[in-house]
Amino acid sequence: MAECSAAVSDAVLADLKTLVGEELKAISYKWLARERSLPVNLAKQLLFAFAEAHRGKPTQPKDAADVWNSDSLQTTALFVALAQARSEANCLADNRCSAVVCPQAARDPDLVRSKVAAAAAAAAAAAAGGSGAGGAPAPAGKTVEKIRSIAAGGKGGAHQPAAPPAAAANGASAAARQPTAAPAPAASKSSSAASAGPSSWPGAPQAARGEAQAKAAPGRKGASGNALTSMWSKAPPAKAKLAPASAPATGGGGRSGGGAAKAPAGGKGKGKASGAAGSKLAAQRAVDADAALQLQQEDGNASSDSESGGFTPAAGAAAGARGRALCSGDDESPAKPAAKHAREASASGARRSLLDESDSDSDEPMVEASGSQDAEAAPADPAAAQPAKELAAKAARKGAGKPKPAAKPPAKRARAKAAPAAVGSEGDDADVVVELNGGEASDAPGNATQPAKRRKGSAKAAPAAQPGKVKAHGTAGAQRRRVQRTVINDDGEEVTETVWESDGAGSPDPAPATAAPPIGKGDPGGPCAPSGQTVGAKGAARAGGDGAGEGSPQPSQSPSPAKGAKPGAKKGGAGSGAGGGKGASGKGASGKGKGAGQGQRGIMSFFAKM
Amino acid sequence: MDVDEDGLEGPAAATGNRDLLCAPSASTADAPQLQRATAAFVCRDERFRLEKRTYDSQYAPIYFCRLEIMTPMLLERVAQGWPGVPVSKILDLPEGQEVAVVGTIYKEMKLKPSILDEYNKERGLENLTGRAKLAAPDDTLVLEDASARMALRGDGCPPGPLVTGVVAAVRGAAAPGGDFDVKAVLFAHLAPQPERPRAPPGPAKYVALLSGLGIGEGGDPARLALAVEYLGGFLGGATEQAMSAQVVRTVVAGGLLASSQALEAPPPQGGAAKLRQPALSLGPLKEADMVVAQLAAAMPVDVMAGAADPANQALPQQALHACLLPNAAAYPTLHRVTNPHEFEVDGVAFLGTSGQNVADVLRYSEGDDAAEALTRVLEWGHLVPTAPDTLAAYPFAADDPFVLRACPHVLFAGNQPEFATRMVTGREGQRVRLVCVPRFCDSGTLVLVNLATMAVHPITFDASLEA
Repeated sequence: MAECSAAVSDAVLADLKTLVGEELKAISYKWLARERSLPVNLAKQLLFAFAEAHRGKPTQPKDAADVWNSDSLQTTALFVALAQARSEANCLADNRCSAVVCPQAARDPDLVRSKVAAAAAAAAAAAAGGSGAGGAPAPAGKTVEKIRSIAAGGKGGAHQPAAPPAAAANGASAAARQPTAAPAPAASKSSSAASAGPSSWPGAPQAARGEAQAKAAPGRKGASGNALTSMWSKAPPAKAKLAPASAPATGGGGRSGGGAAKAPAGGKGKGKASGAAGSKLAAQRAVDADAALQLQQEDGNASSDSESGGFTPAAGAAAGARGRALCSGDDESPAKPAAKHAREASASGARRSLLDESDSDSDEPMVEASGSQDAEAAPADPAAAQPAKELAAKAARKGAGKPKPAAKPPAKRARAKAAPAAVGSEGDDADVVVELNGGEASDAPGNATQPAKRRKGSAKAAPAAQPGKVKAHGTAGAQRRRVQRTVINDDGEEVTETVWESDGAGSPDPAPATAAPPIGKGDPGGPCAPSGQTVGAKGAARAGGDGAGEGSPQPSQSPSPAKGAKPGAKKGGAGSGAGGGKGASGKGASGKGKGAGQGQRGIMSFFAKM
Repeated sequence: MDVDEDGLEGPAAATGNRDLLCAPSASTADAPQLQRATAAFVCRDERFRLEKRTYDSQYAPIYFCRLEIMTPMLLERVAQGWPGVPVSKILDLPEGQEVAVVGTIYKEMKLKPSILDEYNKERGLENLTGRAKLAAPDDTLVLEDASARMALRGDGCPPGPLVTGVVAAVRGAAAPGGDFDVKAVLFAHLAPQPERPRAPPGPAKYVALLSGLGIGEGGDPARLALAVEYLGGFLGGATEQAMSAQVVRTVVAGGLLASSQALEAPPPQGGAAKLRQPALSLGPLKEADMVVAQLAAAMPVDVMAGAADPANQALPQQALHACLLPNAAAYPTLHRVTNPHEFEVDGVAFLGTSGQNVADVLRYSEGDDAAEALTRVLEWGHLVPTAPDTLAAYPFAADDPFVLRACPHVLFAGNQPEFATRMVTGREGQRVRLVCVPRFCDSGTLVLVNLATMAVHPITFDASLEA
């Protein structure tokens, strides 16, 4: 034996004594070599020396399986570590223990990553976001900005660079590890991811819509379950496209590593009432090695899907966002309530988009809501954003063509937002909403709604966020019809609108009113709005969504909202606030339904939501 | 065509396996790591790779292309083998004159399964159950060319060893009743073979052929682990490790998994089962991933899809998706390749399949000898003659990539019941090493092919302690 290894061999022999003599472990040279990172030939010699020294004590195992089992377990453990990139010095990576070296056979994790890259990047971020706790609102603001810029013709480029957006990615991993903790980073992450997906697409408006749609899919599905389910093509064709998108979210989590493993859970969780449940599930999965592999595979699928469909990344992000929203319920962070609301609002927006409502003015309120959320988000910890950023950058790097471009836009948004809010790390939902509405919002300055908002809301309302009316999205309704309705609103104006009506639902209450409050809150310049307010805004947005269903064009909605919508909004807010920690997400949803106006939805729609 | 049944090589007498049964020597432990030999590798799978698959064409064009491509080969053979015999089309067959006709053989088989049997309640079922071989003594042959078809009779062309889809030239005369009395038959024979470069000086290099790992079947996983250790350079003493270091490449000729049915099963809906069940069905795949990754960590590895692997079923099978081997895919040494796999290592041309072609030829012809079937395939000049008739194949519209346009130096078939090898020498001096690679899960055998001498070196692993 070589001199240099004398100390090592002594230590190994001592260990062997314990392992063989006391633990009665069957040890093979391979196991020893890998365990101690020794050359196999040295391991053989050590075992031989040990056997010589303890002649008669070590016995041959009765069954070769004894030896193989320990080897196999070790190999499996090493592989899990390898897959999760937990340690650099994994003897499987380059076969270093072998007596024969093959330099070109060194493992190169980038090979896998590049293959799965496109989807993985977005998905990972999204998943992370999903697992993350309650969100910081910041991202929403960015998104808005971005959308606006797009609408305005690429104004977004002018925004100053901001670190926060990038944060999303890193946050994802962190979030995954501690699902309930640190909501802010997670949120930011997810938001960035979400934004990234859409940004990659060429047409701005289209992009916005696409994102919205992508998001919508998960949202709709939320009632029935997780992204995986959707993967298996339960959904009709239109959905099917979206469904794959959701998959990436989970996959992303898996790939990001041990910590990430949780993230997927978050994605899944989104469908569920309580975020907590989702996170638990995720944790379980993380633990399970098999699950890890499965996750990886999912990643693979996701990647392929993403390649085929432009929507995928966005969808993934959306899923992640949603998942996060659910998780956030558990968070203790102050930002949480706001984040939640934001999500809900976004969710409703997503739904709406799904229904093709994109063009209606009614979308604006959503924007506002998000804005408010952003403001709230401000308190979120900026520091958290940083790691997220790193992660995002990584993801972008990995990603093939698409992810990269995608990543940038989010960053921009983030910056835009950050400027006003000071910190912004926020929920994806908000972003999504913005995107949906964004183009329109900018165009709708003259809207009647605006005054209403002002009235209601805090004075701060950002100029950018034009008042919109809040449209109610039929959240739950399994079956909706599109109905033209004419109503007299509070101002005595006659309003004709197209409304999505749940089966059996009563009159379409134009729920536009809700939007108003959000605007006030959304004020970018202001410090975080009081949670109560934000909540209210959110609730309102939500309520509007529920009540109106998809109704696209709500021409003059402005004043009317105040009345019907407001109460709804408040209710929603209250509900969410009360929910506080765990039940928040679930509760919020239900509260939302109520706020919307029960008369409008059938009982089935209520269950569908669940 | 000469067939040499020998060509086996074993461990050199001088080395033996003495060092396995004594204490590891200090010199062994201190010896620097051996460097794995390297060899120039060229992948020639282009024609088997389907970038874009469209299934809107019929299968007939394959036969048409096959005949078009192989007719010149056969005409050349006719000119050499039957000088002075005129060549005719079936429609233009002269009466009473001996002519040669080139066409595609169709084998009329009573036992051949038909899709229509499913709808025939009265008969046929008994023929379909439990029959591994569908050849019968009363099978008859029909020859088709682009113009017409004619029944073949006579002793010159026994139907037993033939299968549908082989392109052949028959010599004989038209007989009453539209038959053709065959006196002799010629096949495309071995195509021209590129010259095998002189082996570089130094110890011989080897290519390891492995197939039928059958992971998930409940076989002895320790045996496979031993094989992986051997190829990875762990196992044995200095001699064995030195031998392992000369293995420049491992080719897994299909059969990673025993079955991919579990993967195809629809996932259960909802609940914890949704998480658990896929994990269970993925177990074998995960293990395969580990095995392949360990191999890929040690040397370049080509993984071909096999009949039971999660890939497309029709030949040419496309490479396994990277997502199926997520860990192994991280090694630059892993090459996921098509099922007929053609490559060159240090100028030695290899061509092989995962064994479907040989299995199908055996099923539809007489004889049980896989090596013999592989020899026939080589003689026929077509790698998969029974496709697309009884073996699924992609409906190529303008090509038949399975025609052996160049003769490989090593022709192998994976997933065979037992190891067998032959050295076939062609009329023009082509020398082809045929290797039937046994299913590893049944035999525990992997095959090393010596690139310098074309000798074959089977290694069998046994993990039972009783011996």
